[in-house]
Amino acid sequence: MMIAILLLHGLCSLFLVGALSHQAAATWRRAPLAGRPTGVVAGFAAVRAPLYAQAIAISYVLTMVLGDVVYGPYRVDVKTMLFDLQLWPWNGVFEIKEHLVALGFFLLGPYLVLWRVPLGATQARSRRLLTSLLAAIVWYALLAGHLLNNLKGVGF
Amino acid sequence: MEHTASPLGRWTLAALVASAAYVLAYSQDVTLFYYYPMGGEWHWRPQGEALGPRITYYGWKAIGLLAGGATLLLPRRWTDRLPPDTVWVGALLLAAVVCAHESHWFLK
Repeated sequence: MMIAILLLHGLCSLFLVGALSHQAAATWRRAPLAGRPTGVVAGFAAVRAPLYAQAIAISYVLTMVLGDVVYGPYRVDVKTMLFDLQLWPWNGVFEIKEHLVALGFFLLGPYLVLWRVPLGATQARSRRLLTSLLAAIVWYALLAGHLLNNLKGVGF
Repeated sequence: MEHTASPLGRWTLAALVASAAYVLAYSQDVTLFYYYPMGGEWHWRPQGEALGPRITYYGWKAIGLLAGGATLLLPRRWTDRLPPDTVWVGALLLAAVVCAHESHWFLK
Protein backbone atom coordinates (compact mmCIF):
# COMPACT_ATOMS: atom_id res chain seq x y z
CA MET A 1 0.00 0.00 0.00
CA MET A 2 2.77 2.43 0.95
CA ILE A 3 4.57 1.74 -2.34
CA ALA A 4 1.36 2.60 -4.23
CA ILE A 5 1.06 5.89 -2.31
CA LEU A 6 4.73 6.64 -2.99
CA LEU A 7 4.20 6.02 -6.71
CA LEU A 8 1.13 8.25 -6.72
CA HIS A 9 3.12 10.91 -4.86
CA GLY A 10 5.80 10.68 -7.55
CA LEU A 11 3.30 10.86 -10.41
CA CYS A 12 1.57 13.90 -8.89
CA SER A 13 4.91 15.62 -8.44
CA LEU A 14 5.76 14.98 -12.10
CA PHE A 15 2.49 16.61 -13.16
CA LEU A 16 3.21 19.50 -10.82
CA VAL A 17 6.73 20.03 -12.12
CA GLY A 18 5.50 19.99 -15.71
CA ALA A 19 2.60 22.38 -15.14
CA LEU A 20 4.61 24.83 -13.04
CA SER A 21 7.52 24.78 -15.50
CA HIS A 22 5.20 25.64 -18.41
CA GLN A 23 3.49 28.36 -16.38
CA ALA A 24 6.77 29.86 -15.15
CA ALA A 25 8.18 29.82 -18.68
CA ALA A 26 5.06 31.64 -19.91
CA THR A 27 5.67 34.45 -17.42
CA TRP A 28 9.16 35.06 -18.83
CA ARG A 29 7.86 35.33 -22.42
CA ARG A 30 8.55 38.85 -23.70
CA ALA A 31 5.33 39.35 -25.67
CA PRO A 32 2.26 37.30 -26.60
CA LEU A 33 2.81 35.21 -29.70
CA ALA A 34 1.23 36.50 -32.90
CA GLY A 35 0.86 33.04 -34.42
CA ARG A 36 1.85 29.46 -33.72
CA PRO A 37 5.17 29.05 -31.92
CA THR A 38 7.97 28.10 -34.28
CA GLY A 39 10.47 26.48 -31.91
CA VAL A 40 10.56 24.10 -28.97
CA VAL A 41 11.41 26.83 -26.44
CA ALA A 42 8.70 29.19 -27.72
CA GLY A 43 6.23 26.30 -27.78
CA PHE A 44 7.10 25.34 -24.19
CA ALA A 45 6.16 28.83 -22.99
CA ALA A 46 3.15 29.26 -25.29
CA VAL A 47 0.52 28.06 -22.82
CA ARG A 48 -2.56 29.78 -21.43
CA ALA A 49 -0.87 30.11 -18.05
CA PRO A 50 -3.81 31.41 -15.96
CA LEU A 51 -5.74 28.20 -16.69
CA TYR A 52 -3.03 26.21 -14.89
CA ALA A 53 -3.22 28.01 -11.54
CA GLN A 54 -6.05 26.12 -9.82
CA ALA A 55 -4.88 22.73 -11.10
CA ILE A 56 -1.39 23.51 -9.85
CA ALA A 57 -2.65 24.53 -6.40
CA ILE A 58 -4.79 21.38 -6.07
CA SER A 59 -1.95 19.22 -7.34
CA TYR A 60 0.49 20.87 -4.92
CA VAL A 61 -1.74 20.14 -1.94
CA LEU A 62 -2.42 16.58 -3.12
CA THR A 63 1.28 15.89 -3.69
CA MET A 64 2.15 17.34 -0.29
CA VAL A 65 -0.53 15.34 1.55
CA LEU A 66 0.62 12.12 -0.15
CA GLY A 67 4.18 13.03 0.86
CA ASP A 68 2.98 13.55 4.44
CA VAL A 69 1.49 10.05 4.42
CA VAL A 70 4.76 8.56 3.16
CA TYR A 71 6.71 10.59 5.72
CA GLY A 72 5.75 8.22 8.56
CA PRO A 73 7.51 5.15 7.11
CA TYR A 74 10.29 7.42 5.84
CA ARG A 75 10.93 8.64 9.39
CA VAL A 76 11.09 5.08 10.71
CA ASP A 77 13.01 3.32 7.91
CA VAL A 78 14.97 5.83 5.83
CA LYS A 79 15.82 8.65 8.23
CA THR A 80 16.93 6.16 10.87
CA MET A 81 19.22 4.56 8.30
CA LEU A 82 20.64 7.94 7.29
CA PHE A 83 21.46 8.64 10.93
CA ASP A 84 22.87 5.17 11.56
CA LEU A 85 25.19 5.46 8.56
CA GLN A 86 25.90 9.13 9.35
CA LEU A 87 24.81 10.23 5.88
CA TRP A 88 24.34 13.78 7.15
CA PRO A 89 24.32 15.62 3.78
CA TRP A 90 21.52 13.35 2.54
CA ASN A 91 19.51 14.11 5.63
CA GLY A 92 20.15 17.81 4.96
CA VAL A 93 18.86 17.38 1.42
CA PHE A 94 15.61 16.00 2.83
CA GLU A 95 15.28 18.58 5.62
CA ILE A 96 15.55 21.40 3.08
CA LYS A 97 12.98 19.63 0.91
CA GLU A 98 10.37 19.34 3.67
CA HIS A 99 10.83 22.95 4.79
CA LEU A 100 10.73 24.44 1.28
CA VAL A 101 7.63 22.39 0.44
CA ALA A 102 5.91 23.78 3.56
CA LEU A 103 6.87 27.35 2.59
CA GLY A 104 5.55 26.72 -0.93
CA PHE A 105 2.29 25.47 0.54
CA PHE A 106 1.82 28.70 2.52
CA LEU A 107 2.53 30.70 -0.65
CA LEU A 108 -0.34 29.13 -2.59
CA GLY A 109 -2.79 31.80 -1.33
CA PRO A 110 -1.00 34.81 -2.85
CA TYR A 111 -0.08 32.67 -5.86
CA LEU A 112 -3.77 32.06 -6.63
CA VAL A 113 -4.60 35.75 -6.13
CA LEU A 114 -1.80 36.75 -8.50
CA TRP A 115 -3.19 34.43 -11.19
CA ARG A 116 -6.79 35.58 -10.77
CA VAL A 117 -8.24 36.64 -14.14
CA PRO A 118 -8.09 39.41 -15.32
CA LEU A 119 -4.39 39.46 -14.51
CA GLY A 120 -3.18 42.64 -12.84
CA ALA A 121 -0.57 44.31 -15.02
CA THR A 122 1.12 45.90 -12.00
CA GLN A 123 1.60 42.45 -10.46
CA ALA A 124 3.39 40.90 -13.45
CA ARG A 125 6.82 40.86 -11.80
CA SER A 126 5.47 39.35 -8.57
CA ARG A 127 3.52 36.74 -10.57
CA ARG A 128 6.63 35.83 -12.58
CA LEU A 129 8.99 35.57 -9.62
CA LEU A 130 6.61 33.80 -7.24
CA THR A 131 5.67 31.26 -9.93
CA SER A 132 9.35 30.73 -10.72
CA LEU A 133 10.14 30.28 -7.03
CA LEU A 134 7.37 27.68 -6.69
CA ALA A 135 8.68 25.92 -9.81
CA ALA A 136 12.18 25.86 -8.30
CA ILE A 137 10.79 24.41 -5.06
CA VAL A 138 8.94 21.57 -6.78
CA TRP A 139 11.92 20.82 -9.02
CA TYR A 140 14.16 20.61 -5.96
CA ALA A 141 11.60 18.49 -4.12
CA LEU A 142 11.24 16.07 -7.03
CA LEU A 143 14.98 15.65 -7.50
CA ALA A 144 15.68 15.35 -3.76
CA GLY A 145 12.87 12.81 -3.32
CA HIS A 146 14.06 10.81 -6.31
CA LEU A 147 17.67 10.72 -5.10
CA LEU A 148 16.67 9.75 -1.57
CA ASN A 149 14.39 7.05 -2.91
CA ASN A 150 17.38 5.68 -4.82
CA LEU A 151 19.30 5.57 -1.55
CA LYS A 152 16.58 3.62 0.24
CA GLY A 153 13.00 3.38 -0.88
CA VAL A 154 10.06 3.64 1.49
CA GLY A 155 8.13 0.40 1.85
CA PHE A 156 10.98 -1.94 0.85
CA MET B 1 7.27 49.04 -5.84
CA GLU B 2 3.61 49.60 -6.76
CA HIS B 3 0.78 49.44 -4.25
CA THR B 4 -2.36 47.37 -4.74
CA ALA B 5 -5.88 47.30 -3.34
CA SER B 6 -6.51 43.67 -4.35
CA PRO B 7 -6.68 40.86 -1.75
CA LEU B 8 -3.04 40.20 -2.58
CA GLY B 9 -1.80 42.21 0.40
CA ARG B 10 -3.89 40.22 2.85
CA TRP B 11 -2.87 36.86 1.38
CA THR B 12 0.76 37.94 1.13
CA LEU B 13 0.91 38.88 4.78
CA ALA B 14 -0.89 35.67 5.78
CA ALA B 15 1.54 33.57 3.71
CA LEU B 16 4.61 35.31 5.11
CA VAL B 17 3.36 35.17 8.71
CA ALA B 18 2.54 31.47 8.26
CA SER B 19 5.97 30.81 6.76
CA ALA B 20 7.77 32.82 9.44
CA ALA B 21 5.82 31.04 12.19
CA TYR B 22 6.72 27.69 10.63
CA VAL B 23 10.42 28.59 10.37
CA LEU B 24 10.43 29.90 13.94
CA ALA B 25 8.66 26.77 15.21
CA TYR B 26 11.00 24.31 13.54
CA SER B 27 14.17 26.25 14.30
CA GLN B 28 13.18 26.39 17.99
CA ASP B 29 11.83 22.81 17.89
CA VAL B 30 8.42 23.93 19.14
CA THR B 31 5.44 21.98 17.86
CA LEU B 32 1.72 21.64 18.50
CA PHE B 33 1.62 17.86 18.63
CA TYR B 34 3.74 14.79 18.06
CA TYR B 35 3.10 11.79 15.83
CA TYR B 36 4.69 8.43 16.51
CA PRO B 37 4.55 6.50 13.22
CA MET B 38 5.57 3.10 14.62
CA GLY B 39 2.48 2.93 16.80
CA GLY B 40 0.39 5.38 14.77
CA GLU B 41 -0.15 7.50 17.91
CA TRP B 42 -0.73 11.25 18.25
CA HIS B 43 0.25 13.05 21.47
CA TRP B 44 0.22 16.64 22.70
CA ARG B 45 3.43 16.07 24.66
CA PRO B 46 6.62 14.13 23.83
CA GLN B 47 6.58 10.50 24.93
CA GLY B 48 9.28 8.03 25.90
CA GLU B 49 11.60 6.30 23.45
CA ALA B 50 9.54 3.12 23.60
CA LEU B 51 7.16 4.60 21.03
CA GLY B 52 10.01 4.98 18.53
CA PRO B 53 10.93 8.05 16.48
CA ARG B 54 8.50 10.94 16.51
CA ILE B 55 7.39 13.38 13.82
CA THR B 56 7.11 17.08 14.64
CA TYR B 57 6.70 18.24 11.03
CA TYR B 58 2.90 18.06 10.99
CA GLY B 59 2.73 20.18 14.13
CA TRP B 60 5.01 22.82 12.61
CA LYS B 61 2.76 23.07 9.57
CA ALA B 62 -0.29 23.34 11.83
CA ILE B 63 1.38 26.25 13.65
CA GLY B 64 1.99 27.94 10.28
CA LEU B 65 -1.62 27.37 9.20
CA LEU B 66 -2.99 28.78 12.46
CA ALA B 67 -0.73 31.84 12.29
CA GLY B 68 -1.64 32.44 8.63
CA GLY B 69 -5.34 31.91 9.32
CA ALA B 70 -5.26 34.40 12.18
CA THR B 71 -3.54 36.95 9.92
CA LEU B 72 -6.40 36.64 7.41
CA LEU B 73 -8.72 38.01 10.11
CA LEU B 74 -6.89 41.35 10.17
CA PRO B 75 -8.83 44.29 8.72
CA ARG B 76 -8.20 44.58 5.00
CA ARG B 77 -7.25 48.24 5.21
CA TRP B 78 -4.16 47.23 7.20
CA THR B 79 -2.82 45.16 4.33
CA ASP B 80 -4.18 46.94 1.25
CA ARG B 81 -1.08 49.02 0.73
CA LEU B 82 1.41 46.16 0.97
CA PRO B 83 3.58 46.27 -2.18
CA PRO B 84 3.05 43.24 -4.49
CA ASP B 85 6.79 42.52 -4.50
CA THR B 86 6.65 41.77 -0.77
CA VAL B 87 5.50 38.23 -1.52
CA TRP B 88 8.48 37.03 -3.51
CA VAL B 89 11.05 39.06 -1.57
CA GLY B 90 9.75 37.65 1.72
CA ALA B 91 9.54 34.13 0.32
CA LEU B 92 13.11 34.28 -0.98
CA LEU B 93 14.37 35.56 2.36
CA LEU B 94 12.61 32.78 4.27
CA ALA B 95 13.92 30.16 1.82
CA ALA B 96 17.42 31.55 2.37
CA VAL B 97 16.93 31.32 6.15
CA VAL B 98 15.89 27.67 5.78
CA CYS B 99 18.92 26.83 3.64
CA ALA B 100 21.27 28.64 6.04
CA HIS B 101 19.70 26.92 9.05
CA GLU B 102 20.09 23.48 7.46
CA SER B 103 23.61 24.08 6.15
CA HIS B 104 25.11 22.35 9.22
CA TRP B 105 24.16 18.96 7.74
CA PHE B 106 26.65 19.57 4.92
CA LEU B 107 29.46 20.69 7.22
CA LYS B 108 29.57 17.67 9.58
